[in-house]
Amino acid sequence: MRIRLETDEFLMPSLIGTIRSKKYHIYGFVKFIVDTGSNYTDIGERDALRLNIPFNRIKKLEESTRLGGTKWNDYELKDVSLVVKDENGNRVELTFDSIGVRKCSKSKNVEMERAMEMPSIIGNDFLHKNKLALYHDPFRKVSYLERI
Amino acid sequence: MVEAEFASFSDDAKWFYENFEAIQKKYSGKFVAVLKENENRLIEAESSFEMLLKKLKKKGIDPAKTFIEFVHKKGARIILY
Repeated sequence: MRIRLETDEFLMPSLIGTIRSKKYHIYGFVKFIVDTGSNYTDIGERDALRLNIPFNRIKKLEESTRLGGTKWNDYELKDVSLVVKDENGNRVELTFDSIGVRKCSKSKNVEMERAMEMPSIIGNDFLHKNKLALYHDPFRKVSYLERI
Repeated sequence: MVEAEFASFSDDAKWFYENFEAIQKKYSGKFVAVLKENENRLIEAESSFEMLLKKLKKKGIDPAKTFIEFVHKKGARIILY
């Protein structure tokens, strides 16, 4: 089973899917960068606001992440699924134990706007859990995930 | 309906990347939303993400189902870590 990825303006592979949580009334579409340099999967603040994720109802983690030169507060969203389409158009539900949600720890407007530029990320934890291998050819702009 | 909305979002993302150079020339440094009107695509842009969200909500557009991206300046170098 293969899941075709888009190649973005920086030639990074990106996965588009539907994020859903009945518990928190979340439903919407997200573009994730597949980043094998990351051990962690999370939803960026821009997408969190688009999806109306309730930061006040989900658990704030003690650890923080560094990404793109910025320090972030991390939250944990449980009871969530990601649904994508495989190359034949079939619906595939991928699972998380939980997914991180990132929120800028700074309060200055400039830093907060910069935080909004950062994408949501699929990391190695997600690929490992869902037994997915990444093929990425930036020259031909051909990228896909393949279930092992 | 849900299938159609997802297909529309995916098509908008694809269109965005295919037309990125032209979009970058016009909207560099801005947050943009790809919208459709009578089968034509158009862009709503703002320097602030919050302003863009407000604009979309005012028009009755659901941001959760709308492709929104930041248009980096030409030559921007992105290292995620």
